[in-house]
Amino acid sequence: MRRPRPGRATGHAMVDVELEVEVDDAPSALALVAAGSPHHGVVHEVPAVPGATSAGDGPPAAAGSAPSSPRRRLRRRAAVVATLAVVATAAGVATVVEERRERERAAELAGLEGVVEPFAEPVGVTWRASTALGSTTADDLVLRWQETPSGLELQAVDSATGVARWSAPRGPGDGVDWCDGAAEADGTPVVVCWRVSPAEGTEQDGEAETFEGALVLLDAQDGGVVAEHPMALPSSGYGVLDGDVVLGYRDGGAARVVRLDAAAGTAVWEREVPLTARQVDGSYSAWLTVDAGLVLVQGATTVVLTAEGDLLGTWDAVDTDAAGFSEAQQGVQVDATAEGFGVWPQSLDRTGASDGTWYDRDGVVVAQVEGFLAEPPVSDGSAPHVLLTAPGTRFDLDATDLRTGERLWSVPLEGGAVLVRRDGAAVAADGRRVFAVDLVTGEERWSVPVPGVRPDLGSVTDGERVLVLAQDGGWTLQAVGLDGLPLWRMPLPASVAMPDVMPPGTPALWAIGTRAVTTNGQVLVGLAPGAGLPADPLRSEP
Amino acid sequence: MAARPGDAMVDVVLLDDDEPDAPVLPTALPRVPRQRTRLASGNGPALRTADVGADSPPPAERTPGELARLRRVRRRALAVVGVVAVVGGALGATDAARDAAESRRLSALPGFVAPLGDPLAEAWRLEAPGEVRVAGALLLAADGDELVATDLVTGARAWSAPVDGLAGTGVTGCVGTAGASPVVACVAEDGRVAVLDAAGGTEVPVPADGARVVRLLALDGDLVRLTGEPASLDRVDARTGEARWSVALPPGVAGSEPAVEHGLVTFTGETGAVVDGADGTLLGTFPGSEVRRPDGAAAAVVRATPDGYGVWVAERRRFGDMTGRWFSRDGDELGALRGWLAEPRASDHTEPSVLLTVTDSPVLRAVGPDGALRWAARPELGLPVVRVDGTAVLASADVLRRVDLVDGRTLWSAPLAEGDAVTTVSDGRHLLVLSASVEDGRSLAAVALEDGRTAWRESVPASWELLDAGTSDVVLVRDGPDVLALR
Repeated sequence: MRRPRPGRATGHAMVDVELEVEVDDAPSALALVAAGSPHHGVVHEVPAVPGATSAGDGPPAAAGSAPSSPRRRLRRRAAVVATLAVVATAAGVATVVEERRERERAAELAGLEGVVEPFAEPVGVTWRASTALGSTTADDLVLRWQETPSGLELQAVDSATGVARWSAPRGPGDGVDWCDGAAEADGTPVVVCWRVSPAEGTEQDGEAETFEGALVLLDAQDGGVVAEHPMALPSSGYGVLDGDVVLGYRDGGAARVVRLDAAAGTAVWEREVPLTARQVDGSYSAWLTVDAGLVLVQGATTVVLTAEGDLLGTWDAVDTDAAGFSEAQQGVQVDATAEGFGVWPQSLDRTGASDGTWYDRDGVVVAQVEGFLAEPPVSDGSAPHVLLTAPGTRFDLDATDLRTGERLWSVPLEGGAVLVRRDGAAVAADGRRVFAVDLVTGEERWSVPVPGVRPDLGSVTDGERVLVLAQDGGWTLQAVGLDGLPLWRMPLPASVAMPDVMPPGTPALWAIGTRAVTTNGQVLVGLAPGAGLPADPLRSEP
Repeated sequence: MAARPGDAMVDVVLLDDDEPDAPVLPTALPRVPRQRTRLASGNGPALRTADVGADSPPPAERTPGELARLRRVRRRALAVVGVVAVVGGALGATDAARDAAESRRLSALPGFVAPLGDPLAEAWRLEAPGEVRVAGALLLAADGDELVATDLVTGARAWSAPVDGLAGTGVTGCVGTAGASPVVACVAEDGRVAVLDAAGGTEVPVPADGARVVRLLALDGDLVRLTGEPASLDRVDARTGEARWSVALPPGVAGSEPAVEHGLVTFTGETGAVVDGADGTLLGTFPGSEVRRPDGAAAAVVRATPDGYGVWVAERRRFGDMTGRWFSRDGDELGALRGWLAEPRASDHTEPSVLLTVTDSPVLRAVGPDGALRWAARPELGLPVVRVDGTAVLASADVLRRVDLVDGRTLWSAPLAEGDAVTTVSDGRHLLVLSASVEDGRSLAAVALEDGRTAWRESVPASWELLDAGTSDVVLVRDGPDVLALR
């Protein structure tokens, strides 16, 4: 197992610690890394490393060595006192420097999307909520359906406290039928909801249908209706761009995309794009998503638009042997990042060829890539010119230099995933370990054994650590420092007990707002360091 | 930007290494509504997609979520039409009869249930708030001091027997034997065994031999008894008590958990072992690791198929996938398997040259008995829930798909909706899926393994839980204090 050189590049270790490393009889590399880590002092389980000795396990004094004279002992004592004084002074300075750095990093991390509250210590359950009837999210709110004596209602739960902020009945009337995502109306955070009833007329009778739905924007704080915009047609998917809502309609052989000011209900811009390909059955279809600030119209024809509505490209479905593939009607696969977007023409729901083309945010071809996008959910923007992909024909993680189009490196990644980009490294997990590779060189920086780690079930990071689920005899939560230190592990809370077999890709650990949550599908719980059992789940504010 | 793990690789990946792990066999996959793993990125969260269908806007009362489902339904409907158009004319009565016979054959195999071609209906309901056990063709439940047996097919009370010291909490296990004269045998905490005639519940007078039985298993028409002092295993005629064979067990084996798998008696625990059920030959013993794992997990895990068995010995700390040793039925070591065995319970064991294992990643690996890799699949393709006709049906959180066991090629795939929970209940032609949604509540559906379409879907009460009772005659469901059977 490779370990980082002490004091190297993680940003936490300090120079004076690095100097001590060069002393011949220094403690183990692991102990030194620990000394320079922001996690120093945190109780953690360190795996047995053959040959490694802990600081307290130093070799005993040689047997039979001559006893020291009083003068020598005095000299040695003076030296020890002086050394201790120097060490104490250095430690004091180091503490001050470290605290300042931690403050700086905390400030920096606070702006990173997807980063949760620190979990230096083992976490506990702060709240729990049943999600058996379905749930969505909007910023820091969990939106969960629950049954009441008067029918179904949507309850908005603060993910930080577990307190129910408000609830809304299910439509019609003043209710809502579907809520998911957050937007802004005149600077007020709102939850994007839809009321889609009643409907008049039926297709079977040949009568024209009347859509009387509405886009309903609820105040995220109190659930009050901030705005309500009647819709003549149901939007075919939707997304949020800088607080605005983006809607999509199909009109014959064209798709109409509208970016809507959420408060006023007026169009910021409107674009119509032709649908040049049809489904296998001859029909048109289109649905809209927003990915990394780009608007995607998907279907047999795939369209990419900028946030301003400028057309970046259109692609039609390739004639492939798509029989049996449920999503074959999708023209191409498009995935976007802050740096650009990739197009995979023969993806077949990611079961087909993984040869794709990468474009910059202006729609200019940058590179040909082998592999589907393998970027993590959280990134500090490290090495933005390096694109991570995972090819379909081998279990590898590839990096492509977007400035030259050349492949930079390739490392084995069997069935794993990249969890986070941080400090110039990609931190990944592969079922056996959590490890970091340098984004530019591909060199492995560190590796921590985590047998049974399941990155496909999700992960969270606080910017200094990553929290993963692992199954090794039982389900556990395990925290690993982003400097390569195993920190702590604990059994998964009993309230979200999971079965032995979890279908791959089942979301079980992720972030809502700045809180880590985990679920077994029936129950969602909020996690926080040192939290005890919830006194009263989903208590309502007085 | 997509960030879901597993988004990254294609269908089948060939590897050049080989290695195995313990039974992470899919039993009942959980009902886990999909939630967004991805953190909201850029200017807002990626939202659910919906789709406008062919020529007219969807009915106005449909939510985007409903529209997404509608899209899937339409696709499946198209698939149905296509299949009917192509096949319909040619499918004659003979084929239908053959198909029905094949369904019956499969449903008679261990691990499969009775044909699921038509919507299931409640056949009977029984109040049984406590634990229930299936023994042969009977459902056993304790009612006060009596042991009550219910016919699994009819739901009629077959008999109730006040068995001294065996009813209620005194019973530690009951098994039902097969054969022409089946019995129900129960073992009590004090090691005594009571044998009852399965037809009438009358006690069968088996001569007592003083054995203090720890565990009781059924093997065809006989009983296999594990005794602790001295540690031994024997096979006896259920009605006469006549010994077929008896074998002394090496130290540590009697403390492990025994099971009958495909004619072998396997032991999983601190010390693993395999005994040939036919003649009592001790095929092997496998001590667990010297240092017991802190989490209490079994030290040695043994799993068997009709063609062989494997042993996985846990290490206190490990730094890679579990590796198992694979043996022939005769005990010859054939190779090393990387990852745990991933053979589903519902299996017809076709294509025996292919074994399915799963690594921690979890990558599905298809290997030969010698451990040589044939193909491997990315995690998002799913884990096996049914194996039939040389194919495997894999379930992930999002998709159900059927793959060819020889080359891993995908034969069809069908998306799973939010709230869908794939079960392992199959008749070899269908697979049951439990679903839940705000719009439709709870429902039970049968997915046809032929093409992935939904054969039928029925609303069910929200309180239903599928019972994993290992019966082939009915699908058992717990509904509060009641147990009910679906046929």
